[in-house]
Order: sequence, then C-alpha cells, then structure tokens
Amino acid sequence: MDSTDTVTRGAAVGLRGLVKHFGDVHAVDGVDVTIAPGEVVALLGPNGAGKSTTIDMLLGLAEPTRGSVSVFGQAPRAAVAAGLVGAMLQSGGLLDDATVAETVALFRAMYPKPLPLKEVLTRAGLAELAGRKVGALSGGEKQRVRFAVALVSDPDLLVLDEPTVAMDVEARREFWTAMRSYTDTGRTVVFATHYLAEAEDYADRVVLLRAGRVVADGSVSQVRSLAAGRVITAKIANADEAALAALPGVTSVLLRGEAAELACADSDMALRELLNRHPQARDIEVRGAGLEAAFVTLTRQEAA
Amino acid sequence: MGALLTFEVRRLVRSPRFFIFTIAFPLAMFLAFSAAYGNADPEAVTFLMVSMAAFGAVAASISTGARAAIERQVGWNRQLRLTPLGGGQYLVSKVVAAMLVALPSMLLVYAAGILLEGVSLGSGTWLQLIVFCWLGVLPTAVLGLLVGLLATGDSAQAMSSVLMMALSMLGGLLLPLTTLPAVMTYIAKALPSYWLAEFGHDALAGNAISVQGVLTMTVWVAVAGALVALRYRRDAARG
Repeated sequence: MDSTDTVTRGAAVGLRGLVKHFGDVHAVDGVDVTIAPGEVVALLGPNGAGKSTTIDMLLGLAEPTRGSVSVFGQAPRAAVAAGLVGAMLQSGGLLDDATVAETVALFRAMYPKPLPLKEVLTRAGLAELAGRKVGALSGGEKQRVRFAVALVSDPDLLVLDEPTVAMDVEARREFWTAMRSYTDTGRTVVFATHYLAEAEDYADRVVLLRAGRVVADGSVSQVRSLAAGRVITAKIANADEAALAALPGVTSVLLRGEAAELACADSDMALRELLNRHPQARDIEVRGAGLEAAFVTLTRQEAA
Repeated sequence: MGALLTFEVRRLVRSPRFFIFTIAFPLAMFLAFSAAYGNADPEAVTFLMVSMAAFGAVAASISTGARAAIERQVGWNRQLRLTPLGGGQYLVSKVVAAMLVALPSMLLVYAAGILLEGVSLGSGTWLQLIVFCWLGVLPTAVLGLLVGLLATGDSAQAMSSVLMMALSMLGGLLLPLTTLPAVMTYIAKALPSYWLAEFGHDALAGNAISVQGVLTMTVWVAVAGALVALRYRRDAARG
C-alpha cells in the first residue's frame, strides 16, 4: 500500500528552524521538532504560545517567515493533496444546513482512497446522526463530525487542535477511545490541548511551547520530572502548619484540617522526618508532581 | 468537483431564501406587471416575460454567490483548504452552482408565460431564448461570488441586495428605458443585466446575438473573475 510506504520513508513531521512573525509579534520563534511515524505527540502551552500558528504551518495554511516544514518528506500542501493528512481545527467550520452524511460524503469524494462512508460514521460515533442537520447538533456532536472529516481520507497523520474542547467528560472519554483505536494501527497524531490530563493519558510525547519556542520536549515522565520534586499527602492529627513546613526537604505545606499536602524538594528525607516527628500520620501517599506542575514551572520561567 | 457542486445545489434548493427570491418573487412580479400593463398586448407580455426571467436570474445568481460570505465566516473555506480541492475548482463550482440555480427561476417565468399568459413562440425561439439568457447569467454569477468573497457574513445580504437592485433597475429590467432620459440607456448598455435581457429580446425578434452585448459580458466576466481570483488568494493567505 502506498500509504504504508510513505510512513516508512523517514519522519512523519519535520519542523526545522520554524519562525512566523506577524508584524512585530513573533508567534513562532525558532521551533525544531521531528516526529517519527506512529508517535502520538501533545502540543502544550499557554494561550499565545504559538500552538495554533505551528499547526497552521504544519498544514500549509500559513507560510513560515523562515524555516521549513516537511510532512512525510513532502511540502505540507502536497501531503494534504495526497490525502496523507487529516486535521481537526478549532477555526475550521461546518455548514449548518447540510446533514452529517452529506458533509462527510462531500469530503470523502475529494480524496483518492477514502474510507467507506459507513466506517467513518461508525468510527466517529455518528451512525445514528447521519441524517441530522449539522446545525441541530450539540457542540460535542459537531466535534465528532469534524473528527469524521479528519478521518475520511484514512490519513497517516492526524492533526487535532483542541479536539475535545466542546465535549463533556463522557464524550471526551469516548473520543479518546476512538482515537486510541486509530493510533493503535500505527498512525501519527499531533494534538494541541489545554487539558493536561489528556496529554498525560494519551500522548507518548509532550512538546511544551512558550512564547513561540520549545521549552521541553520528551516523554510525559521526562517532562514531568523537569518540575523537580514530589508531593506527600497524609492525614496528620493535631498537626501544625509551621512545624510541617520546618521538616527538612519540604518546600511548602497545604493543611486542611487533618489533611496535609507537602510539596517536597527531597521527599525521602521529608518522609523519614515526618514519621519520626509525627508517628500518628496515616494514609500516606507519595507521588510525582503532575504534568501540570511541570507546565506551570516551565511556562512561568523567565516570564517575570 | 462534481461532489461539491451537488452539495452546493442541494443546500441551495432547500433554503427558504431560494424559494422567496428566486422562485416566488420574479414569478409574482411577472404576473403583477403583465396584469397591469400587458392587457390585450401579447408583445408587451412577452417582453415582460423576458425581462422578469432575466430579473429572476440576476437575483438568483447574485444571492447564491453572496452566500460564500457566511461560509467564510464560519471557517468552512479553511476546512476545504485542508483537502486536495484546489482553489480554482472551488470557485468554478460556486459559479456553476449559481448558474444552475438561476435556471429554474427563468424557466418558471417562461412556463407562467405559456400556461397563464398565453405566450406562444416557436420551439427554436424558445431554445435560443433559454440558452442565450442562461449563458448571460455568467457575469452576474461571478459578481455574486465577488460579493461573497468581499463581504462579511453580516454585510453580505445588504451588499447583494444593493447590487441586485442596481443591476435590475439600471439594466432596464424593472422599468422600460424608453421612458427614461437617454443617459440611462448608455448606462444600461454598460451592464451585464441589460444584455442578459437583450439577448432574450433579440431571440424573440429573430435577430442575431449582439456583438456589443457579448463583448460587454466578456469584459465583466474577465474583470470580475480576476478580482475573484485575487481576493480568494488574499483570503487564503490570511489563513
């Protein structure tokens, strides 16, 4: 199959020295990222970090000021025209007066080797909504139509900009289940998200952007470890916040009644002393600071 | 491209605006005018029929193209740009869709002419009338699309209504130019709407198609088409 050949030929995505200026605004300011076929990569960053602009250039919707983009060894437009790329954009819109089936069928007709209509509708969870006008759908259901449109060419690379933004918890879970079944077949996925838990749960790799630059790039646990430290939680009767804060290795304390949360630079030392001084402590848990802590630490740096 | 055309026409035919502006309105105007002015004068009724069909075609083609403004606003064109569909294919589909939608509005007025007003023409004349007038819709279809690419979703309706009325009034579709100062005829002859109706009147009179008309139409298509292409490229570059 042609598409599999393409996958084996080097990187899925290569961003080299990517720069995009809008007048004086440096939306993207030197991004180098190579994504191997089959990787599921989360693009994280606060608003204005350059995520959407990077995605636009990746899809050939915007021209870089400097640097280059290659998608499966081709220019973005060529890869899109070959049906290798499917995308779900926040700014991409659907027409309210067309039905779900009409919309998906239209996009199907534009590609050389599309998936069968029924399969696309089923995969996106739209089988029962096929005859419904897009205008009559909920926000989450519309997102599913966009997902179907992104899937229809049976692409090797899926690019998703905030894919679950309008979905409730249940819909979000269903969406990622559908996505998993897709990525299990070896497809490459790049997604931008505000939900750090989604990056943590579904990405193999996290690229953290701040002010148009990559500030961290690695596996979820690598990026997480960049925010040093762990958190100890415990129930401690008659605890005193000042006393807990004085424990060696503890950097900050949050105490609500008996429940204490100790942020630690050195959790081993802190734990030993905690048990020593507060033998009554129970329900003790030690965990790594989440991706959120890394996100906050890394994106805040130099900001002041 | 065929798929996009089918998609466009299906949506157009379902929309309430289509029925009001392109079907009901020209038909009602034809019946009202012919009741008022056409009494016992079959020639006047036939003349009115051609003018009202032209009016319907102008209205249908412009309002169709102008819909692109709303589609751009919701990000539909961005979605299309993520597909292999080329810009040229998109623009041609839009123009052809506008021309296809203009056809029933013309045919309906002709049908009313035959069935309700007793217009009787030879089949060759009918064919000439339909083909020439339909091809004459091309400039207004391109102009409608230009409005769709220039306007925002909010201003599109106002802009297309102004254009539609200007072309109809100044082109002599709604008022006979003979009752107006001579300068109005000069203006009319510069407009595609005038020649759209004139092609029909020529067909009725058995005259050859006007060279001046064909040239004027061609200039309109070329200029409006170039502006459409330019504007579309700008729009795409902005992302």
